[in-house]
Amino acid sequence: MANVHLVCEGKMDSLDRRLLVAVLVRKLNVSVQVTAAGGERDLGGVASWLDEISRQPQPNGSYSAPHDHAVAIEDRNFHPRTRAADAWNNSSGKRLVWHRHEIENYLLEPAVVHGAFASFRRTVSDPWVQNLPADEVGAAGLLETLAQPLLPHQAGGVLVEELRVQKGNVGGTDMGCRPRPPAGAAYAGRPEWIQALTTEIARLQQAFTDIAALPALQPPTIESRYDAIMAELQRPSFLQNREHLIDLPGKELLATLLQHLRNLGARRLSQAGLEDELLTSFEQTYRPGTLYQPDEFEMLAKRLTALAASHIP
Amino acid sequence: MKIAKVVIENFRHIEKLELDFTDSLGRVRDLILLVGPNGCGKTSVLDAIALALGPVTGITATRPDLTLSPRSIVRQSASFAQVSCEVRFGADEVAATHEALQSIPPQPGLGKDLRWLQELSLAHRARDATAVWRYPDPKKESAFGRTECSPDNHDLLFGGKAWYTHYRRNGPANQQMFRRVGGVYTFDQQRTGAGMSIPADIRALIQKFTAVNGAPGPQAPEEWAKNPRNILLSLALQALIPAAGVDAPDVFKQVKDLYARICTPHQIVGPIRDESGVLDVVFSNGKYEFRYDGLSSGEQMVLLFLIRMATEQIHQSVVLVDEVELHQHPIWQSKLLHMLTQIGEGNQIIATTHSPYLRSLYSRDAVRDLGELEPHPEPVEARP
Repeated sequence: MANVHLVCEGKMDSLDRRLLVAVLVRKLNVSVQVTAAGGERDLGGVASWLDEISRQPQPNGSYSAPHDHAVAIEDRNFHPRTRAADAWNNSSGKRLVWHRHEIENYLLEPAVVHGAFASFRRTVSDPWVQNLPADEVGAAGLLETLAQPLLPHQAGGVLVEELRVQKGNVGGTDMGCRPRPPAGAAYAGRPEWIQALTTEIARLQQAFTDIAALPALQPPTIESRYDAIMAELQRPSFLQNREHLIDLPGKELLATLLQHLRNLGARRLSQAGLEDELLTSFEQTYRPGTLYQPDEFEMLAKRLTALAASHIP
Repeated sequence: MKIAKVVIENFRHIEKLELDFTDSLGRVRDLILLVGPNGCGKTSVLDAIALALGPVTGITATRPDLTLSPRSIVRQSASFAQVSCEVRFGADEVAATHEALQSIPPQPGLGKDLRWLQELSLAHRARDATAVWRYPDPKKESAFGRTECSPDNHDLLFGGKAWYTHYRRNGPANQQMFRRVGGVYTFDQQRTGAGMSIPADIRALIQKFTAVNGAPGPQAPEEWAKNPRNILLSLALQALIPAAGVDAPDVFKQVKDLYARICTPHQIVGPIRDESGVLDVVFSNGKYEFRYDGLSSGEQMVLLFLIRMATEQIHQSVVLVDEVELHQHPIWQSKLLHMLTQIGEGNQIIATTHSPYLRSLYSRDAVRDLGELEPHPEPVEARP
């Protein structure tokens, strides 16, 4: 059996990691080490590093192929759903993307939220618990109501990603400058540096000019495109079909739910407390193939189990 | 019962430590991780709780190698150690304790006291109580210190399991009652304490078939009954040949299922009689089968946990676990700790760890960082 690592977002005690350990290790019995990338680090980079450090030195001084397997899974955020689908469709791909916006979205499934509410009603004697929705349909309705004010934020996030793609198609705007050393030298001198810098600045100037001229980045176009995205989000089916639970940012929706509960009377309820309650409910509610369509946890478990079985001698 | 708050004073090197075990909504947490480096006082906290609640629950809750003497318990320069535990009882637990008291059959020499106890139990239906343990006993009546409960006479609430076990010893055991009343249990670093009363016929059977060349085993009877292999064999045989008229749960199946969930792909296959007729328990790692002697120390630790949790019917109890991560692969650590919260009903697990892995798997609300206690002369509030 090969060692398998799963690299996720956040710090070591992040919700991402806790949820993945709960579902993969405890519920689905997958033998995987879940590692958090630590916030700012590139998930793919961490996964590659975990692959690399399992290489063994050979007698001839070279190194073997990696013995461990590392898979990274990251949030889709405001990127289109096709980004997640493409990542999962690559059967040998090791850089996966959640179908939903981020990990919190999986906890905001009405059945999970209903389970958490039921636990509150069972264990808290304060009057506010009587005002919680009594069933899953009620929980779904509450989430729909809470999602409504988030739609303008969602439209902005989606538009930013669209514009970022258009901007990227024109050319890179990061400054990079690597002058070639003259023949026979190990490093560049003054003439090479001046030449390289002048060329790079000219490239940047052209890129910015082209970007500034992009029709999509003109204020009237931005405004109309924002309104068009907003109109898409406001069509009744977006909320009725629970698409908001897939696309809207889960962190913000969770914060809105927390504020709602505090307004009801749970003034001391902490974010960690609500996350704990939802996580517990998730563990009790989750059954492979029933709660989510597609069930990425089950898909991930199968992929990791297959990797564990594919030991490289 | 569950502990909402514990205050420890002048206990070993702890001058004063307050630990709140409730969450942001004031509910008592089912799982608390006490985290800190070696020597910061994690085990002392568990010992303090066991000493404070053990006597009042009527269950020996302290670890076997705990030395109880003023020199080893009371902080230098202090005259006594004190541990105060605020405890909350479930409504059904209180009801069950009352039922246990009311159902005590007439006992020779206990008539007057029994009536007094039963009347008292009806008068006290509160669900919160505080037990304050002082050592040495200020009245110098007990070598184990003195525990006083408030409100007065609420010590009755703590002893439900002991009442029931003691007075129904000769009558048919009601398994349901053991699910409703609890106590305090300690799992020390050696995981000692696993032991069970093995029926004489089953014991004779195992001894007959495990004796080498017909000679009795080298272990003393008490040691023999604590050997996990013998306990497992006994449970397996009892499951195969259940005693008539006894409504006992299939503990072997319970241990087997839990072991498979924690140690997957390893599992308990079952009892065998090998070619030479010797009884043993067979395990599998998914590919190969092996016998009890082939278990790793980590697997033995898991088994000890599971056997004790299942055989002692630990429910509605405070379960104190020292260094839960001992000898185990990180994935097993996570599964074992999680499973501990689910094995019994209504238990509160208070576990110590210095495993960053385990700590990172729980929210900050579940973790109490003890850090370095000695450099802090002022009271330490360990709640995050």
